[in-house]
Amino acid sequence: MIAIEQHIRCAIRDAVNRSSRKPFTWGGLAGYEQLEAIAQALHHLPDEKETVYLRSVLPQLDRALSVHAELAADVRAAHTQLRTIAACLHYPADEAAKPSVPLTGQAVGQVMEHLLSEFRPHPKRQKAQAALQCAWHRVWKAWKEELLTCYRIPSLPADNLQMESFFNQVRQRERRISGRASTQPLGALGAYQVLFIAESEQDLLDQLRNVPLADYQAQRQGVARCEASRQQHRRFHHDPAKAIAALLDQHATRRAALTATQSPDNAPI
Amino acid sequence: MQQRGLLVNERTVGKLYRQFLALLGGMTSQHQQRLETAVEQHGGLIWAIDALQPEGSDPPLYVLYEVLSNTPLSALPERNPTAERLQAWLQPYTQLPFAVLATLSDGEKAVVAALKTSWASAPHQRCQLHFLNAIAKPTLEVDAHLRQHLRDEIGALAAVPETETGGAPTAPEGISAPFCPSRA
Repeated sequence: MIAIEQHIRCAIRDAVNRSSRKPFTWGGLAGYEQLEAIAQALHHLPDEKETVYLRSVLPQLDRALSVHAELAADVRAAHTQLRTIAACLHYPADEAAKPSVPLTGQAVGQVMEHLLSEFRPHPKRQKAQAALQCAWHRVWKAWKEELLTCYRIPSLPADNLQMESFFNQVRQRERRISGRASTQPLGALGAYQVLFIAESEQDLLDQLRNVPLADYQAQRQGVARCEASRQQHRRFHHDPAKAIAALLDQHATRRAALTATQSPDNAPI
Repeated sequence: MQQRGLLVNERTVGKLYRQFLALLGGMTSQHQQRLETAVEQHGGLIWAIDALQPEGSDPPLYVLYEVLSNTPLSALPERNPTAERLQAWLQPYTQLPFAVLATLSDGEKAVVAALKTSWASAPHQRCQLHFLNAIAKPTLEVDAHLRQHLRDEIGALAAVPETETGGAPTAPEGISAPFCPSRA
């Protein structure tokens, strides 16, 4: 029983630590709803000796819920409105609920304007909705023409997530190959990995054999340049005195070379 | 491999790996065929740019890709590039002999400007997810306040008593805790 009560206590504490993720996962609202569900269930507990602890946390829960009920209702309404906006754009596209008549940018734009004109929250009492209205109005006004292009060009996606999903696959492969959770090297070398697609090992070999030598050499220098900053950091972490001495030596050599080219002996006649 | 008992020299493998990457980088010209197929099927190309930041890496990696054939064409690691810098990067791709149906990106001003200048006659699409993110952002701050208020209220939640419910343990004389089997 102690274990169960601890689970319930953890669930209450978890409710106030729910994370958010744009655009639709709102941690505060999700936590409030979690607390609501817990409080509702605890209210049905019988008045017995063994339920004393669970009933003892109820006043605290009820107080938290009632004090912030108005703010939570406001946030909930804002969330519903955001869902309505997404539904107006038909985003994300739901193949099952595909409209029989193809959507047009003009129709979507008109519905959005109508929704925007009807949405009039109180600026002080409904802060969440007012913040949504303000941002919605500003961003829609600036972007509207370019948000609706996808309705008139078939196969133009409404979002720009294709490469992110591809890159996530590259990261998974990197983890599998290296056996490490970190995929930090992708930051420096990802430029090369995302450019490569091969259907088979033979395909890979064929493609590699056709790379011109000059292109290879230019790219090899590019790889070295991408890694230079990280290598320099590593040298400093490993042996700072040696690293700074090496850099100052290079600096002195460069200075000497410059001085030599600028000396009167080398001046153009 | 070393865990499996096969000794490898990490430095040698690293060198080979870098040579391999450089070969990959030199293959961009071979993507032309994929683009030709996309043009045959759709009547043109759709160019898109996305800035990727694996594990928050800095600088971000700007990737140019063709949407219809899902072909990444070029990548540029750069911090806060200007529209002119991006335009110079895109320049070789504007010379390709293919029709361009549209361009696609998120809301980054330099990226949008570079795409619009490089393919001036092609309509541009902004990412709808970024639109929804942008309008949700200020409301999420209010949501964070709600979470903070709840955290303040619930913060000092009483711990579950390790003994009998409802207060201090009252063990019968001569019996040590845990004495109540139902709470053990």
